[in-house]
Amino acid sequence: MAKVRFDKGAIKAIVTTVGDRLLSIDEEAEKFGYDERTLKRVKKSMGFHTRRVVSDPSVCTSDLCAQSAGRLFELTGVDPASIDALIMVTQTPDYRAPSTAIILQDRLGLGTGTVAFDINLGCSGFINGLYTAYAMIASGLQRVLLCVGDVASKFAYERDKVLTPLMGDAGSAILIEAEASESHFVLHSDGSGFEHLIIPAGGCRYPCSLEALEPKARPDGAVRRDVDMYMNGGEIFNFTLKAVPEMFDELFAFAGVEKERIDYFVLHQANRYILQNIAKRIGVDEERLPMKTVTEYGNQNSASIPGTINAFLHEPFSGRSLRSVFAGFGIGLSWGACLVETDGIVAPEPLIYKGAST
Amino acid sequence: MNDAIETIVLESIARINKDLDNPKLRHPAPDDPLFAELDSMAVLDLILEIEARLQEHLGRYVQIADERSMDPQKTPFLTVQSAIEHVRERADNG
Repeated sequence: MAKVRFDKGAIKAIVTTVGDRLLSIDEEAEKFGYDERTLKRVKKSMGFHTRRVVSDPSVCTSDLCAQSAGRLFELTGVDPASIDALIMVTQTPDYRAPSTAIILQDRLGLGTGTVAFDINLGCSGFINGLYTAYAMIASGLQRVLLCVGDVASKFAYERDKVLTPLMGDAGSAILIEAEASESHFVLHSDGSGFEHLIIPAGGCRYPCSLEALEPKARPDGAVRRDVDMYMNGGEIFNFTLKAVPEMFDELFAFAGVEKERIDYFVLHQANRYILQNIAKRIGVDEERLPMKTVTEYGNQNSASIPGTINAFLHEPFSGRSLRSVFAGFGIGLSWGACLVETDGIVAPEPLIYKGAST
Repeated sequence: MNDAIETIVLESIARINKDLDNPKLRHPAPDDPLFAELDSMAVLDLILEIEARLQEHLGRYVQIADERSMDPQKTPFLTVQSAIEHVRERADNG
């Protein structure tokens, strides 16, 4: 059972870079084949309004994360050579091999004594990455750099009216240091639901082929290729409503903390309805459980929790001590939550991507 | 109470059907299929509409959605009548 308490490890900085291109659902409606009624419905139910993506198709997640990490080093004054470990959580690596984290090790100027590897996760990726970083700190490392994010336009077919309007591109860098601080994690996995959120082709089970690259009309009304992400919205909805509230009960019981003592609940920004439902279920208002990220930036996958902190909670996180719950849930199926303490971290507003890809 | 719940469900179906414009949902009867006439977003719209109207009626939030909502075999929204019974049960016990 993955329930873990740490007494050392603290987040010191969070920086997020978002795509440079602002898209509006009003402007995209025709591309997705939405009529006026459907447009109204997706705005109300799902919270679609605008999203941010990269304008240059050659830009990778590592480019967004590199800009975030560069700014993080500037703001904190931390020497990149002092980083002991680099974890990259993404579903959109630069290459199938090697790990993007190892390429970033060199690009960011980290020493060759750095341990670096990738984790392939999406919506729960920040929680799993943070858990791994804290475990590394517990094992004796002093400084860990966690990079999370996706360029979702790499796996969401541009005409897929179900998934694509939801997606935003973002890459975050998070600095974790060895400092006394209490945290609790609960983590879950259920591979029986792997087909509900999946990129079917491109791996060893179904290698990329001409057939996999052919756009096809699907039973859910969307058009996509087999190399693109498919989401069974109903199954993911059902999974989320069952798993997430139970996970909160589990976390609070494990940590021995009541929800009234939590300053902020920062959840993976799936869609507005899911977040509203969870907020009502656990009795927390929107001020303590922000839910505007998907409306303004799109679903940023593993970067949605740090992205929400930078976009909507940068003042409280920069200014004072906080006890927060973070929770991620989605592809895998995988879900996890943690209760962490922070104390005046570096958390600037999101950066707009401006660098050149390399 | 029971009539009020039925009214809430029927009015909610009428409300979402303004957007859907599904002829089979214009005059819903208890035994009529419901889930089969909705896409997943319409199920979500219906849940939102019922929850809002129920909150106004009861003066408190009651969650209508659960892990069965989108399951074609187990959904409580299979028929108009099963939806009414589900909402009634949630209003009584939720």
